[in-house]
Amino acid sequence: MKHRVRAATLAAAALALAACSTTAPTASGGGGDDVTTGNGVTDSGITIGMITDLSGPFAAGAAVQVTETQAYWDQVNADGGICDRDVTVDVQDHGYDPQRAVTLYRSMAPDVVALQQVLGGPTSAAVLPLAEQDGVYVGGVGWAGSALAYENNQLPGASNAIQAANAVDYMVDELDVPEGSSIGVVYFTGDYGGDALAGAEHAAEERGLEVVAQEITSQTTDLSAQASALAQADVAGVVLAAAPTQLASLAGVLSAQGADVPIIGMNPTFNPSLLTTPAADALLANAYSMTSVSPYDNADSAGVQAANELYASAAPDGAVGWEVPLAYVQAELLKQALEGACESGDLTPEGVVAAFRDGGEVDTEGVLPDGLDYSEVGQSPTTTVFVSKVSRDAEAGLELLDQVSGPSAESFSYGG
Amino acid sequence: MSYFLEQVLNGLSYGLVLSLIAAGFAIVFTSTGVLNFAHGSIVLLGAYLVAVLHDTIGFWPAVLVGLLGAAVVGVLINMLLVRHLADPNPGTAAILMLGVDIVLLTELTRRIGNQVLTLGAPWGASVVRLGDVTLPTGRVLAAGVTVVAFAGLWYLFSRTDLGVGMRAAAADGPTASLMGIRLSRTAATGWALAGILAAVAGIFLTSFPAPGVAPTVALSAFAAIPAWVLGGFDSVPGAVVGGLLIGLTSALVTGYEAELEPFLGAGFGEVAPYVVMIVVLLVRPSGLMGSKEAVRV
Amino acid sequence: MSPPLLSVEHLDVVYDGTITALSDVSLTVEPGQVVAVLGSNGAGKTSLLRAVSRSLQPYGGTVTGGTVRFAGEDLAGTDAAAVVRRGLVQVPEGRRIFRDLTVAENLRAGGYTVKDAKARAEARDRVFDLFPILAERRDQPGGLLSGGQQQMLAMGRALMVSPQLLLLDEPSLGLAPLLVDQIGEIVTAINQQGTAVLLIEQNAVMGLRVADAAYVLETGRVTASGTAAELSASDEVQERYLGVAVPVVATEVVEAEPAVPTAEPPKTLRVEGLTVRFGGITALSEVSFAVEPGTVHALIGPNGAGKSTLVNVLGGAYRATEGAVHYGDAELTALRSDKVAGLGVARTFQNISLALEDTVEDNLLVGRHRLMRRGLVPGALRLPGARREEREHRETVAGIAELLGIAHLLRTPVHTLAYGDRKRVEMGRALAARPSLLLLDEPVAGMTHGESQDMAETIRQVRRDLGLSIVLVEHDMPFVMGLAEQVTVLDFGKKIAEGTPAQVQRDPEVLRAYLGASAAGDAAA
Repeated sequence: MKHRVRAATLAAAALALAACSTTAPTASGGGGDDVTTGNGVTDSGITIGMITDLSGPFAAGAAVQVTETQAYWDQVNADGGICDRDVTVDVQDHGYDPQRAVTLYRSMAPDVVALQQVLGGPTSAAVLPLAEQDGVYVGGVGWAGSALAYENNQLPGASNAIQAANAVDYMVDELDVPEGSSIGVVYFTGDYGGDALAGAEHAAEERGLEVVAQEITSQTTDLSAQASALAQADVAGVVLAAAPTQLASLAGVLSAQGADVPIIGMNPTFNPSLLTTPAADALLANAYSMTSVSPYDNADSAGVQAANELYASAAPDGAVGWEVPLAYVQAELLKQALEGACESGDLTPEGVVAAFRDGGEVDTEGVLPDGLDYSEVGQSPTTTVFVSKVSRDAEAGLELLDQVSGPSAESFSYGG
Repeated sequence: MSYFLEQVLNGLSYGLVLSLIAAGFAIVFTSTGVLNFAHGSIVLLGAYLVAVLHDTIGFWPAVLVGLLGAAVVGVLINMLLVRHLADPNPGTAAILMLGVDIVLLTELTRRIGNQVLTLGAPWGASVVRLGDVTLPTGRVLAAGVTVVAFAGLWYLFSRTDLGVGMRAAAADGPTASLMGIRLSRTAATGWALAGILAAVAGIFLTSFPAPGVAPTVALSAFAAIPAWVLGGFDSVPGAVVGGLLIGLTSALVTGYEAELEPFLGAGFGEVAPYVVMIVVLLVRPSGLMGSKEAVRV
Repeated sequence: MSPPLLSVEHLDVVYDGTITALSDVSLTVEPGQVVAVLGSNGAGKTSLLRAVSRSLQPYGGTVTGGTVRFAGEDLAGTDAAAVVRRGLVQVPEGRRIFRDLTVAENLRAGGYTVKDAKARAEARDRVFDLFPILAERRDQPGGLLSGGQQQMLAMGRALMVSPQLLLLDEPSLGLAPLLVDQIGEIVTAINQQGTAVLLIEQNAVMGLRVADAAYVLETGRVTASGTAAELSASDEVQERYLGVAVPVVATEVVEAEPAVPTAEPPKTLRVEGLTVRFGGITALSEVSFAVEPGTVHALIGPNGAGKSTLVNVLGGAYRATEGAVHYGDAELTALRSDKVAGLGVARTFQNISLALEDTVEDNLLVGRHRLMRRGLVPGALRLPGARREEREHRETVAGIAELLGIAHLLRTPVHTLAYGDRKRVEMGRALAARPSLLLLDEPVAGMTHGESQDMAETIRQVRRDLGLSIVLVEHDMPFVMGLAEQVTVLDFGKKIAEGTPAQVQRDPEVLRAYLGASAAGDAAA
């Protein structure tokens, strides 16, 4: 409901913005080319921003992404840059504090053409509306459906609801969960968990399953009570929209209680270090991951290989994980948007937003599913996700099984 | 029936772990009048030390280092910061503790990164079966250790000079010092005890059924705050009862979420402890076992 | 010649860097002596003890000059704990027992520094010999003991370290005359076991009776010293501290028209068959008496007799279990406590409860609260009506301050006031509500004889000018006997005697339960 209203006003605003930027260019073109430029773009350089968490709870993963991002743009610059300009990344630390994120955005906005990332749910939620008013592109902010309503946001792959719907489809189609049975949905309070729950509920209705929902917070590190309740309800599978700690606890307790059922986690719910915990056996037996971005170990994807090589040379001893392809593909998406803006002669913030929304093909060489479509504001750019299984043999602990786009995921619609 | 029993036992064992943390809050409060909001990061610190050391020196020596490390950090906080507070206002001290918490937590978060560090506990993911009821071994151990720890505390506070001296100092510091009781020593002992209890709680909060040490463990300590408050700010027995009450409430509300959801809404398990706390405080404003003076501070 | 046990030489003590508490005080305690320090509130007696026991620092005090030597050794630089270990222990004013700890645990805390189990057991046995009641009640929380027993526990706690020198700060404060005598005997007994005692007392009669030598301290200086006999004979000490010169005369009921009339004339207060129980404990049992309008009526009795309970019922704080209290036609016991004030009843408290940071005027204005008709909003907005009303309140308060002799202190913060003035401010706050019945709970506790005589005069004046009834709880017998028209004596929650001061002073029951042998001698004389 909220989304629909949002999307409508946004569409109007976007039209107005687009009109604005074409009729009244914000800055003079310079140099020898005939490109209109604006904030963050000079004759010789382009500045992009990254507001991330280098001192808060997500500092470690964020550091991996910053390293990969820097390496990516260094390589772009070595190959001649974009629009004959070198790209500089301005990295700022919000420490997972929304207030600080807003302050940083305000001071950064006049000097950048786009933001490759605003890490974190509450932080990006604070920045997105401001950036939308300013017409500034914002890349990675997670996969919550609420971000889809922003015209200026480019979601890296399928939203959480699509992941969850696919998880339910996959259970029915591949993991022998029979029609009429119950499945558990354990989810974080907030946009991420709420979106996943919506997707799972939609799919459960489509596939004739009962949902047993359990809401938790990130403080819940012991899921005994939840696991007991799920076992009591005799669930045939569990969709988990939480973090690695919760995955390990849930898998361990369910297995200890003899509930040998598949657990499918959303995007950030797996971490290779879980394989050193006592829950490792349970994870290897039952844990799956449904991700928007390809897992680290994907020999078939040239993009993932490039991402991993880049990271290996930039940080030979760095921790490997899903952040590597994610950071790579976020940079890749922004690069394609910048190139599109350059081609259409409008290298302003608005031009960058218009470029990725123009409906043209986006190719990430297998890091994201093919056929991404960013032309419709408010809907997931794809219904396809990556399915992996926890494995000791795969690098970073996830072995890619398949790419799927289930019937429930395809029939899911935001605001519908 | 066995499901109910399982949730009750789960709740009680989790509640006992919470009561270790709550008792630490209460002991620091009575011995130095400080609302120790850095307690959560001390819980994390204890578990972190065990996690990083168990590979090299073995689990049990690592536990010893974890307990001592947490105790030493508590004593240092008291010695270097609390004692030199010019203004002995509890509000100032509480804000100082929030600052300490941020510093400790940031550093630990930086060190832990996005890993989930395993504790290497010998009981692993094993479970104990009692008839139809399955309980994680870690939880059974936690219950046992906690009971022993509280028996030890009872002995300390009622049967030893140091403990009686600590209670005297807590009741009336200036008068206690007239008996030759050194307040700096009772305060340090209080912080050390709280640190040890925090580390024990940290070990059980990060071993199975929880997966390992992650920065969010520090937040789990906040789950003990309602237990501490409803038990009465200054009462260790109150902390035990408070912890059990909170543990039981969250386990049962979560365990019966499906049945309760039509009345209470989803996710009520997360707020239930606070609801219990508020109800208790409405009936007994100084907590279950708190003294009225303490609440007035 | 061996050095004196305690030798204080030219001692200066300053609080918060500015307020001088002691200047040039010198004092000596020989081994085995009992030395008393007399003086009114604020004379610096407690500061002297704190300087000796090295416990000034938590109160913001410092020694700025002079020395304190214990057994020849300078105590400068030692901390309170070290002083205790050397055998010098202070029993603080107000007993300060640990209420939640049992009697045995209190004693254990007292013996904290004694590590030798045998020495400690012996010390405990000596304490139990001296105070058999403590042995009997060893497992009860200290808070359940009566006032006198708490004082015994406080002393017993200090004796656990078998001290060479015991510092006693006002041990008889707030205790019934009978108990004051007992405390005196205990001090003598302790002394006979070889412990020297430095005793601070506002009750100079008791102090001089047990002491070998004494010092008089006034505003931080020693103004007189000598043997106890010498000082007892001194005219000045007799007048200011012993009260010998002032004859005790019952005052007449003044029929004059009140100068500042109360809102309503006082009515008869009738207490009928009043019983109050807390759990299983009966605090008051079928007590009946009446207070005639415009009289001063005293309630006396041993500690724990139920006097404060009675005042709390009259003030509306406690509920009656049985029986009733009528004030005029209204049944006071049927009303909520906030409605009791509406009948024109106001009270003061045993322990002064003022807002210390606020001025005297602000504290008095709190008493006007009930009479403020206009709400907070007009007051905050300073509307004309509210301003006029505020002016009226300030005038009333000024009149009361005038009456109590504290008009010059109206703008002064309460925390800088001397004890006696604080007591007056508290009375003024109660009077600001313009009551027709005033309940005074121990108005002269902790005052010297001279101070309590001044207070008695103030109360007479208040009664005369305001024309109200006064119910008074007090242990200071000269004060009570000189002020009250009627006296009701309580013991163990029951009324044991009633009558004029002269009648109750001769009552054998009262002598046995409360006044004690020395009073019997006085009465006979």
